[in-house]
Amino acid sequence: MIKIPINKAKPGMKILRDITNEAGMVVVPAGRELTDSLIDRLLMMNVDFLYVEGQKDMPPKEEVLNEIERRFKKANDTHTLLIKTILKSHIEELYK
Amino acid sequence: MNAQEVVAKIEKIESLPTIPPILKKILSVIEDPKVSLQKITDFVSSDPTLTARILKMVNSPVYGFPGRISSVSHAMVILGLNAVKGLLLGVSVFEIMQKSMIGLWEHSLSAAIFARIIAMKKELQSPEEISIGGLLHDIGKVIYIMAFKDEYMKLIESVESEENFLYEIEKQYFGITHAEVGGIIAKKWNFPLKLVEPIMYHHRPQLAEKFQKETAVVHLSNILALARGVGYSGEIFVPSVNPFAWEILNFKAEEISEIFKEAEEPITTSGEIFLSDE
Repeated sequence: MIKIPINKAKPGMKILRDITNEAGMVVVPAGRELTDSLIDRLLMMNVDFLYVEGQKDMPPKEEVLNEIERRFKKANDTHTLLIKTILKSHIEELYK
Repeated sequence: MNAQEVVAKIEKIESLPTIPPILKKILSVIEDPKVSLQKITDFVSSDPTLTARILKMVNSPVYGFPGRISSVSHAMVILGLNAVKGLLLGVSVFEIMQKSMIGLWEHSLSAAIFARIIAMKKELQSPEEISIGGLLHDIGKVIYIMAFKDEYMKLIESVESEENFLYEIEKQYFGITHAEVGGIIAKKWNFPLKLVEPIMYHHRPQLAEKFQKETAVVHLSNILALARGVGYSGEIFVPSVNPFAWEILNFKAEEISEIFKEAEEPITTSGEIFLSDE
């Protein structure tokens, strides 16, 4: 599941979370497929984001980890190195 | 160049030819220390683009409010006068950031997100205002771009070949860093000390006098934003955490891990908010 802004919504995408209005009422239930007219209606209701099927476009994990190594090149104190270690395990989690 | 010359030029910022008219108008409003909520609300409401940007921002993942905020006056009540003044400035320099320093906006947004999350974790007062400190921490870079575009762009380019921090290179060339430039300007604009100190000392948080915690939060949020690598701030290296700042925030490893987790969705989705606006 990914969260996309309404301007990236395309017909055929499947909605995975209920879309609610300002009062919290469900206006489009999860499970429906987007159509052009549905997208227009969402735009009129000022819906900004929606959850649809799909995977986030993420760069390869190795690349992300290598970049982290490069960015932390000047770090040599314990606190900053701790942040680096935590960040790397956070990235590992994202790719699980 | 020496620091006095630099300060003299940036203090005359309103007369710089590169300053957009809307920013000039905003400055005249926010500079007034006695400006009322009503006056700011009226000013923002009279400009549809500003209104749209403020509302987009307050309803965005940067702020994580559950409900929709549908009017400027509602945003004012929730965020407070100082935060809205800062936000107004933040959203109005967006264009300059987008045109002259691609990625600075995304970096600033992610620092704002980290700052709010840390402030909430540490139960500090007005996390929204501290978040604005995160959003504006690099405002000095925008000022440098407006006042010394060619020289500044060259400095940014030299970061790679010199393998150094941009703020060190600024210090060598201008005698003063973007953090200090930002702080001087924020003071000149009559921003409260709670915003001035975090901007001024985000690279040297030990120098903050009254708002040490707030400054430490912005210091750390900049580092986490640089570490996570969203956007581009001109720096290619993550600067070291100041031990003093680390100590006053008193962090445990699990908390840092939670902060990265909580920030993940907002930092990866909020960059799109403004790009879809025209």
